[in-house]
Amino acid sequence: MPKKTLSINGKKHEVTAPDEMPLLWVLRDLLQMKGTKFGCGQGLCGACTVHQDGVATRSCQLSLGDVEDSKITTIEGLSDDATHPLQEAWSKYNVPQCGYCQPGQIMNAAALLAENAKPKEQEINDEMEGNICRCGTYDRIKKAVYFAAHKKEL
Amino acid sequence: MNIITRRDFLKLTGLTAGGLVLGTQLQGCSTKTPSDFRANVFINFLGEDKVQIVCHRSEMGQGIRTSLIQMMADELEYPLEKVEMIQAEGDKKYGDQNTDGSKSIRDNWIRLRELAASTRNLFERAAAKKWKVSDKECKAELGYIICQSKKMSYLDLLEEASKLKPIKARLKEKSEFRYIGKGITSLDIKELISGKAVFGMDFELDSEEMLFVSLVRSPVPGGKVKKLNDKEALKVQGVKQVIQLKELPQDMNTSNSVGVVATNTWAALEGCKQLEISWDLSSVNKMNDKKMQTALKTELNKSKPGKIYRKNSSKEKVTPKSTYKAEFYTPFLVHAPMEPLVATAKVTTDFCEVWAPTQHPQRARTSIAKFLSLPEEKVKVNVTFLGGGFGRKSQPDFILEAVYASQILKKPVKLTWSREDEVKHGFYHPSALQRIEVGLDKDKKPLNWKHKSVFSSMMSVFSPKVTEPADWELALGASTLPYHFKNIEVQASHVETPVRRAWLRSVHNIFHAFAIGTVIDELARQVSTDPIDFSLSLLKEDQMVEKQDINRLRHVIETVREKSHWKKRQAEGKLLGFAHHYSFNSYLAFVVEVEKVDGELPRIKEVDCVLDCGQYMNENIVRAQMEGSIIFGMSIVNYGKITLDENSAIEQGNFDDYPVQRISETPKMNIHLIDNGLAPQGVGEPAVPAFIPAYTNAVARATGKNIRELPIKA
Repeated sequence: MPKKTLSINGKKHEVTAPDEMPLLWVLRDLLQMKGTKFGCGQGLCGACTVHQDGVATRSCQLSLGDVEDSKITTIEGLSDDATHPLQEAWSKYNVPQCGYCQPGQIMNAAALLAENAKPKEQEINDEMEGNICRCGTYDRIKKAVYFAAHKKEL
Repeated sequence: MNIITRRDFLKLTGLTAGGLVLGTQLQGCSTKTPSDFRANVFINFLGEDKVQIVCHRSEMGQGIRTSLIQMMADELEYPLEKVEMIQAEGDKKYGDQNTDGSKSIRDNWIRLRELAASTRNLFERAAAKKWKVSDKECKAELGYIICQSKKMSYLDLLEEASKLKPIKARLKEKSEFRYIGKGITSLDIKELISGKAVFGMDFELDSEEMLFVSLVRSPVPGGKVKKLNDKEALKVQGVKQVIQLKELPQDMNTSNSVGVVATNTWAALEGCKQLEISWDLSSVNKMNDKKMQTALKTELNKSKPGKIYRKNSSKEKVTPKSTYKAEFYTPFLVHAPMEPLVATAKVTTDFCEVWAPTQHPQRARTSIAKFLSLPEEKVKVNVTFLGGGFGRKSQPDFILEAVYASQILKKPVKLTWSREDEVKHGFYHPSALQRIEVGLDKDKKPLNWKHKSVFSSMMSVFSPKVTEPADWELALGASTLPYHFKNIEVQASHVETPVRRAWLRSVHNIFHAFAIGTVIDELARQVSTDPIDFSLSLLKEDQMVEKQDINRLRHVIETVREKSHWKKRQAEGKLLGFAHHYSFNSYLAFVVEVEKVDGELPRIKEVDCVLDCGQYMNENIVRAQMEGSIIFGMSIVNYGKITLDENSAIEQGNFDDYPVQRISETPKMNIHLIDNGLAPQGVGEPAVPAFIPAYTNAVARATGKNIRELPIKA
């Protein structure tokens, strides 16, 4: 198997793996970047959300072959010290309960804000609909995304 | 660090039931080295300006790590920011670690505060001795002891304090609480929002030897592998071998399974998809969903009554003029925590260590020791963060599988479940069929109450032969009926099924509260009475009923009426539903508003929730639990449904056919907490069952149709 070079969080990483291996598992098992979570394996829950060239994408549905020429950003690359405005808002509203889905939620929200800096409540709902939180932190997610964008309470 | 001997351990466990005899407890485990003063198994001073406090319960989103630590730091009078949290491994020296039943706070409220207070007291007495003043003149404040103008840190008093014999010390009054009750942000927040928190799914040993395993299990417990073709599986890049596992011990009720061993998780999961297995299901009791429902119906309609779980009989003869009768069906449910099941195990000839997202590390430890025939001292169970639990991670089956695979392979193993594995091989919340009959007088006022609940008992977790539900299963919302009727009778029966059952968050309260809350609402509508007035009219004043303080119950109901502006909104024609329920020792009342949507079921708009859980530990976390319970309840009402195919195998597999609530339907939520300073009670579970009938009653009001079955959207 030939080596593949991936661009993740601004750094080059070399991996040797089959083309069909999902990016999720390349990140988690080959590169030891465990922030991106496995939730459903079918693109149904959003726990594995990363950015592919700035677009929120489910990494369980991206194969290694798909991403060779892409710039990938994961939760590890969002900020150095949990200081991204979304992470600060997440902290302000004490959003996480178990926390397992939250890296995916935050990555999805970060792509949303990059595209639409001042989303309305309905737009937040629409864009975050693909990310499941079984603990039910949705109300706080919505408030945190809104606050990060508008610097005022929803 | 001192090793705790068996003798000390016995002392410790003997102490946990009642009050603490601290002297004996602390003597057993304090070291005499002044630089490292382990005051007890929970509190350890490291000889620097910080203290380690142990959290012995599992964190699965309920905020227990923050809550327990803030409770102990408060009583210890130590600054929270200088506390290092230590997650306990499974060990009986900590007392009960079974993180379920919403009891982590209520069971430890006195016990752990006493422990922290007696530790604080050591420093007060050490300072008093040093300054030659009375103990009472020395006051602890955030890691210092102060007496008039003198001030000394715990650190400087460490050596002196470690020589003293601990005694029982005064606990703080509510007015003195520094942290208890405050809405402190999760102490784990940074790890949780940066992807750095280590969940069971994220744990890995730094070892070249590490193997990754996933299993294909029999579609139904009891199945056996008839034919196996692993040719294609072995072709998957990274797959090393295929193994067979026998069934786990009886209480797990599993079957044999086939494991794919690989160099990474994906290869293991992918290999499983490529296995061709035909299963011998001849010994399995075949019961499709229709047959299961018929079995429930047959049992419900048996002329012979079920076992009686409560009976209150009036001396006078009561002859109802009519009977209001309603039947309720609720299906099986699965937990679906966001983190599927996973465990890492390292088994050597005489030791086993595991790392797992477990709610019950002691049960896991005992099960592993038994499985491997090792003494418990030779088994170590480390607890990771849990990516949700909801009861599923109380069961040690997924941990035993990892242990078993590691034993076979003689290498450390990480065993990962897919989402489909989690949905199809659960311990399910049982389906239930219930009938409530209310005898009415000529004015349709209720006289008699008769409730029959038929379901598959969860006692199967504890015993292979189940003939009837346990008393505590009916005390989950049915036999605990708070209302006053002339005659009350609560019956129940068990129906045998091949489906594994166990507890899901809130347990049988889910179906019992749904049935009772619906009947009360329907009765109120029948006589055109306000449902809140109607509910209150069924309560007797100044009375304890089945351990419930009726005054507290009355108070949450009246509070939700006031806070939700019930009367005003009723008058405006808003579509409102009301219900209340007592469970896990807490009192809940809900008002839910829905609005009509063209061509669809009504949409939830706003929720008012009133909780009386006594003293709440962390206001922010308690509010979060109420919010999460509403969403969890919505998933149950709208979508929750597990069904059986003709082999009694589970038909659902992922979030497409087992949908859960998503963000867009999130209602406006107004959470009102009663601040009465009474002993703290359950928080994680009691809101779910109270919310469910409030929601369905609002929907029934909007559609004009009674709701007798869940879910309503599937």
